[in-house]
Amino acid sequence: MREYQVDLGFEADIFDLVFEGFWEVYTFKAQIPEVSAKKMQAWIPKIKLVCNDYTPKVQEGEDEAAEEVQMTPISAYVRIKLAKAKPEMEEDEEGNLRPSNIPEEQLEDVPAEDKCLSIITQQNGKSLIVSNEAAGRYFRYDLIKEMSVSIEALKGLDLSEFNSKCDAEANRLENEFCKLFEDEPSNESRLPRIPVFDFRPAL
Amino acid sequence: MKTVQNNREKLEAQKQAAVEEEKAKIVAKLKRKQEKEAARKAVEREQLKEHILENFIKKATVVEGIVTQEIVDADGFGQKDKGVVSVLGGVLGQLMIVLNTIKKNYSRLDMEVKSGKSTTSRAKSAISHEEKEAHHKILNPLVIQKFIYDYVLERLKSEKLSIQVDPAYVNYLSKLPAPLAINEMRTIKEPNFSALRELLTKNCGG
Repeated sequence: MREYQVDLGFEADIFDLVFEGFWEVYTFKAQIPEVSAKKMQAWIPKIKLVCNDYTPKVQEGEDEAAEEVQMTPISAYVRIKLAKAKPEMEEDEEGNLRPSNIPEEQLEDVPAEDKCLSIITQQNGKSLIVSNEAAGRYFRYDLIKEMSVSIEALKGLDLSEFNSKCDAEANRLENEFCKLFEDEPSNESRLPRIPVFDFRPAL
Repeated sequence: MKTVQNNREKLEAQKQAAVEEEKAKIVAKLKRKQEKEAARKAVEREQLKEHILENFIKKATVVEGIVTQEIVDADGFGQKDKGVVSVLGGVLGQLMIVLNTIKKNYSRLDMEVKSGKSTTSRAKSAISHEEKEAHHKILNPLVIQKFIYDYVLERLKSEKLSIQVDPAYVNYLSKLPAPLAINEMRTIKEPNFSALRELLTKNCGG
């Protein structure tokens, strides 16, 4: 994300504020007054660092250049979107009832329930990028709620309004991200050219 | 003389027409090839979509209590054969989206403008822009780091917060004078600390 933060429309410093901020805390360098190295020892186990499998684990004495990266090429970008409400029925010229022709993206979201799909992203030689809209929403709502409690300037925030704005921002940002995978001459990103598929499974 | 001239012009026109015809044939051939290629790609795309639907989406499991789940980056942290709940940018990416929303829509809550201390001795209008200290009440490293610290320690609903690192990070820790394993940390002295942070910044996670 760092490389494409401008394309994605991140405002200046937002990426570093979070990314470097996390590592400042994790490496005991945050200047939080009441936090000591001893207290940090209780914090560290709450973080689970996961090593990705994209680069080879070079053993001591091995020639790094000779090692070939064995990674499954990414096949597609998959967006698991929230289900949409069924379109209203309209009468056609002959008086028959048919679903209205409103484009799917303009239909109302079915209110998200607190559940989502857990999907395998890599199997049988196929690898996917999967973003789960319901999971993103719920996680952000939790972050926003907790921020409004612990950050003085956000106390009294209209959470419902903020959540809506944040959902719109997340959609905008993801659309920009998807453009980085488009097989178009104007796309200069170094990301693979893969199709983007939307699925709206009913849970 | 006129007949010769006419014949020449006629021949030239025939030649030109033949060239144009040849060009048109090449363009048409290229167009057919492109259409064929586009059709082949469209079929492949549909087959891939169907494959994903059958083998990934329909085989997914429904989990309840989203914030209690381990939330990972959209690439599933590169883990094979493991069901994951994945979002763009992982947990840090989602926090970035929240902060970007604040920056774009709630800057009035974030910015606190303090006037210079000399307001009593000078007219407010005479205070230069530079003398006004802009202060971030939210989008400030200390506030965000404190929030990350508190959220993880006290407000996290899942067992742990998962963050992806590159093998280079693990490799670096293992080569420290007093090696560390992944998921271990202590105060690291210079110059190793700066080298580690540079590695993290460069690789976005080691």
